[in-house]
Amino acid sequence: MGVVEREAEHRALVEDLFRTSYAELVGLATLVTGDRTTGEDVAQDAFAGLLRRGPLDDPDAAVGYLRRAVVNLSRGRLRRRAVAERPHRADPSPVPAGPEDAALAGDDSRAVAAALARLPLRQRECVATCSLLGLSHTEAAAVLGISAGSVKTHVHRGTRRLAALLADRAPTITPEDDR
Amino acid sequence: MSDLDPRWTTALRAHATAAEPTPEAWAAITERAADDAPADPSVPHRSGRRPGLVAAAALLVLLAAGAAALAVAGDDDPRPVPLVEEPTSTTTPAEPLVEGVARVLEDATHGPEICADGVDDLYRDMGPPSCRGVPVEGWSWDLVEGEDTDEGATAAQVHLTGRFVDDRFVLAAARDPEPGETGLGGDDPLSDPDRTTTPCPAPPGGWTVRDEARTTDEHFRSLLMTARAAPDLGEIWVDESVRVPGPQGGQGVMTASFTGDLERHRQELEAVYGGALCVTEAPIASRDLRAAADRLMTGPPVAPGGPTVVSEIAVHDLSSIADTIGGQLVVHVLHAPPGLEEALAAELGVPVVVTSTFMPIA
Repeated sequence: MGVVEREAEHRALVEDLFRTSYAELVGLATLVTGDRTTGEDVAQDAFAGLLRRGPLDDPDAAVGYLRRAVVNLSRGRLRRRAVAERPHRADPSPVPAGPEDAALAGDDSRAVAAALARLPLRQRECVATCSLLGLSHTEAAAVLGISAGSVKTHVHRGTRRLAALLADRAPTITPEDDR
Repeated sequence: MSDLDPRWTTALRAHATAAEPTPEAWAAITERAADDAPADPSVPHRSGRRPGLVAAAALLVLLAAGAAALAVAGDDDPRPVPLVEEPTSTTTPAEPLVEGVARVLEDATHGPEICADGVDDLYRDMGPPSCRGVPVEGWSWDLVEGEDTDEGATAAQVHLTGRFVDDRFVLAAARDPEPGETGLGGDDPLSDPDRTTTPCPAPPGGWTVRDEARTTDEHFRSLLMTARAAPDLGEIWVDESVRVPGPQGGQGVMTASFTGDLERHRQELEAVYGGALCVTEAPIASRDLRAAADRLMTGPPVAPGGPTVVSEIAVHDLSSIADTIGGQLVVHVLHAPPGLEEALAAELGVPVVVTSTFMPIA
């Protein structure tokens, strides 16, 4: 396969991953950085990086590459003396199913986001990677660059702390509620 | 996540999702991928992206700023509660109580130390994390929850309160950092949002493109090359806070500073570039700043007439950035003893601004 063909195949791969994985990667970056606009920015940078990088030796590794890029870029945003390079957009709210659901879903969403933001970074990363992406501790460890044992510890501590932070909130939605 | 009510897991996913893979998002991605901005942060470029060290209408972003906006008022007191009795027999009363966010690492070769060798290796792909620095007296890993243990090394970012005494840090309190707390105390001149604002007043009628035919990429490269060939160049940068109507959706004002004959430089630059241009005086030539940065990094200086010794602890985590726009050397240290800024300026012969990880508690 010639260079041109490989580049075209790579672009098609990335575009396909964009359709299937963009939402979850924005979600991961949003949970780690605490900001939806930043989350979208980070995810787009990760995809752009993969495009620029060109064909991978193992195309099946592209998803892992993107996840690690999102984590590293999110860490960079949080730790560097960052300069905002793109205009901020209004943070869009999740699309609700209906007006009442919007209010209730918004309350829960805001509450959990606020609680998550109070976790130490590593706990936040581990909770976000395992809960949102559904990765095992071993898979999350590969994305985050730490041991599986550390992931397990941080997930345990993070969820315990989230539970404590959210314990005083009365249930606003139960499975039995009519909507 | 067995400890978390399923309702919160659902809310967590709801908060994080609903980002659609739209054509607009894909277009943004391909545009970024095509961006060929050079790595040198001082190089202005045409794509509209701002170099890493150049700020325009930007703030020092303490991410997660978004998290701060979402945070509910809680019961937690962000100020650390003293957990360690300050020893009275060995502390020097003159040593100030300081605070800062830094990495503490302990491994098989040494006890807990504040990382001071500038190596951000906790995120390396290979090998266990490692660093050397300032031993912490009174440390316990029970003080924090955010630590990582990998291959026998334990490390964490920690908000520390204590005193630098001789060759150690005497701990008074420690906690996990709040979201957005970074390792930089005080004001950072490199993050001043007005730093790249062009100093030239707008001409009567406002900034305009003088000759559209000479605003191509080739003319832009000629502008950079001509400016950088001058030994008295301060810096050349773009002020994008001013939008000058023109091709490619408009552009900013190219600004070049020199220590020498400004009128001569103006004529040289206007001859090769037809866009909006400001030529201004530079406090110091960039090559002199970079030479001073090189001298600094060969070892901590001892300034005659200043402090008799520039503490090795203070300058252990030494890094410097030549702020060629501001005409100053920005030196970052772990902890700055009084008079360090003046001593460095006197030793190096250039303006110096010192920023530090640890700051005195007011």
